[in-house]
Amino acid sequence: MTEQRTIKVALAGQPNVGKSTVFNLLTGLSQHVGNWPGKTVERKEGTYCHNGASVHIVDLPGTYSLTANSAEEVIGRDHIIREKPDVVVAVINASSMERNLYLVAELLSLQTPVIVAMNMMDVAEQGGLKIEPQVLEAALGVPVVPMTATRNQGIRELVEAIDELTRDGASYEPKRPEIREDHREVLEELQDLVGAYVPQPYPADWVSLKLLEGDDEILRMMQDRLPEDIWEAVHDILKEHEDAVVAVASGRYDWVGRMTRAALVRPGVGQVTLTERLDRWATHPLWGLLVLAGILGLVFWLTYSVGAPLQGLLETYVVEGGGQFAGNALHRAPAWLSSLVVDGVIGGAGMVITFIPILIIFFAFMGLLEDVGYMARAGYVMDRFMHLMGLHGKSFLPLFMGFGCNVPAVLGTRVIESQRGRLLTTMLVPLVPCTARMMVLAFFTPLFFGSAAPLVAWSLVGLSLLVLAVSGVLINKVAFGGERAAFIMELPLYHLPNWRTIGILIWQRSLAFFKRAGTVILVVSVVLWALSALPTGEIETSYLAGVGRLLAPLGSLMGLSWKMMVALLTSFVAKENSIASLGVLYGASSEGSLAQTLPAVMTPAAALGFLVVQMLFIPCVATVVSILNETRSWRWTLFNLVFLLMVSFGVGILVYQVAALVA
Amino acid sequence: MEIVIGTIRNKPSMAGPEMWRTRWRMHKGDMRPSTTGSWSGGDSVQEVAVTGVKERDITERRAEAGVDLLRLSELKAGEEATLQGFEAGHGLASRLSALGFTPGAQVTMLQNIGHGPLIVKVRDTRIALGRGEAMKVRVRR
Repeated sequence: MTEQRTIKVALAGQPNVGKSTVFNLLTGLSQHVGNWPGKTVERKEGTYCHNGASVHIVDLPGTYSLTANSAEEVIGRDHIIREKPDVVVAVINASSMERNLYLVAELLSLQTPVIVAMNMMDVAEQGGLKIEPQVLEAALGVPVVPMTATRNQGIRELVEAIDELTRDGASYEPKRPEIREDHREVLEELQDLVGAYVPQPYPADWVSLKLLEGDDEILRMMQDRLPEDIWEAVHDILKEHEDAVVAVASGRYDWVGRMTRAALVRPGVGQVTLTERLDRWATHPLWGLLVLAGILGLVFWLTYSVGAPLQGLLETYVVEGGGQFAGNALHRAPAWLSSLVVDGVIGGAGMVITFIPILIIFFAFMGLLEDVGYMARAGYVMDRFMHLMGLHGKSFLPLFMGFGCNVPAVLGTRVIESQRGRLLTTMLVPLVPCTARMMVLAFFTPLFFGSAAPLVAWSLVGLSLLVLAVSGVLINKVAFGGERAAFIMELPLYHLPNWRTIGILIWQRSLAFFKRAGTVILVVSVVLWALSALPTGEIETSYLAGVGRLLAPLGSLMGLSWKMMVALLTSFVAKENSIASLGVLYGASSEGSLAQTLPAVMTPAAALGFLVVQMLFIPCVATVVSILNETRSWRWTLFNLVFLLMVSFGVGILVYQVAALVA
Repeated sequence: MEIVIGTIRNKPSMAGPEMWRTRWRMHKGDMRPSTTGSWSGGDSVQEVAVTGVKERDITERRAEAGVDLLRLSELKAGEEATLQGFEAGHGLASRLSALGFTPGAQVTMLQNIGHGPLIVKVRDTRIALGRGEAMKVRVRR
């Protein structure tokens, strides 16, 4: 039996080069999605077999360079330096070769062999560009594989190139970019000083170059390792050459220029017309907003005309049907078991199942908008407003999704490029009123406020958003030092969506949600059922009620009885549950009778307090799990919960006291 | 007042083809050439092509005199400029130069409306920049 070779490949590339399409083609559904250890950045890896070898591919985050300006760049270069893959495949977009080759220039200064996958040859051709990959190959000294991944072209050649390079590394002779003449001496000086102290496996010349560029991470690394006097010397040199980072970048672009001039036979003419024409509307400060409003309107209309009925169907046939079936099957079992299965398990699982249509529609839309290239325009148009809250323009879309449901909103924060932006936005999503919360509003307000109900309801929505804006500024200041990351965003060319990519995206995201969320939601739902049923089987005397009574003093500050506190607690499973719990606690057999009972046991001020707390309260368990999933951090998730508890009770008490005085 | 008369193009000389631009300046009534650009030396034949009269505005004159360079945020839509440098912190300079904003690069302003972010084109890429960031980039028309 022959030993199977393992080849380790790292897939690198700038954003918008079709890297994920290439990755999907190579790995298909064998891919596994997780997070890079300790970071909120997505990590994808997969495998394929070819010619007796098992090839393991890691998809590095898309970055424009390898300087420590963002977590993604550090992840990418650390992986190459520490994990030492056998090959780095650098995907470039043939129609923006000049800019894409910058990353290749950076990659070539590391020791790992590089293969350039020149993707989107079709787009380049359409734009009138004529490129000669073999000339580029000769100029660079590395294999260059032309591809059009969306049409499945070039994949075989890429696989062969990887195979060939790893079999016979001897013929690999890359032409590495050299630093510009005027900085050569300084670089050598640095190298002489620090060479001996560079830790394995970092290459000494690369570290010196990064020091010259003023790379934060490398600076810190070397500061720890260098003796005092050498560090002083290095520091002096760097201070004298503070502009070196621009010079180094220029040098790389000079090198890139020479390479592209050799390989580009005829520069394109007017290839951007379609994008330009569309952008005249899409990025205009006024029309762009209208375009965005139109698109969002479309998404929501689709969700509610297609998604809601599907949800209804699922509820009737799967959840209720399943419940009845289980009830019948267990009719001879003890009552508690039957209740556990029907109310606890199926009730909880049912909730997860009813999420399916909504999630799929949202994922599909986010995926489509991103793939087509519109997402960047939406971010551009909204940045004016978002930046007042310390957020990036791209945060708008996930936050807006929160109006439908907080779960896809949290999952949608992935479109934000910076880790910091993602975290901040995720913290703020629960403050966006979702439809479930609006349902509670819609039920309560008419009971207590009569004709003023819509006004009260909209004011409460406005209050939530105000709290969101203020919280954004606050959290940004406290947790992130108040500074906003610079707004620099590429607007990629529009192009036809790749349905396969979108399909795989929807599949992966939905699967991830169900695996993680499904189990937790189920467990929480069963636990809550247990708390409400034990020890006597009556909710009035259950543990849950005990907790409610314990919280009664706090509740009285807001005019809430222990029953209202219990209702709040049950809203943890699903926001609509608070209505159902109140029904049970007040002995109301239907919503109608509850509607009559409530005004008798609560003052309008108390109702207002209750609604305020409900709106700002911790989100449903599905959202909490999604937050945990996305942030990969218990710390941030707990912070979010504590923060929301404080805010909701704080504002709730304030509102009640004021309302009680006024009324 | 300075009047740009035209550009002078050299015929290929012994030293090789060279091209430079000369502006004829009206100084106290008579015309004088002031040369900008590189000089290669060697014998060459000059021919004058009169392209027209253009009044140069204050920013261009200031730029020529080196008094100050234009900020990127001051370019109007459709205008082109050459990048000169940054007045920014290290992080911003690093990010921008990696994206192609290097001294000597051609920058075209695509959209510059109001006080919000603007859109430029650098090395065939459309990039949206915050106004604050664009104010820290120096260009020359």
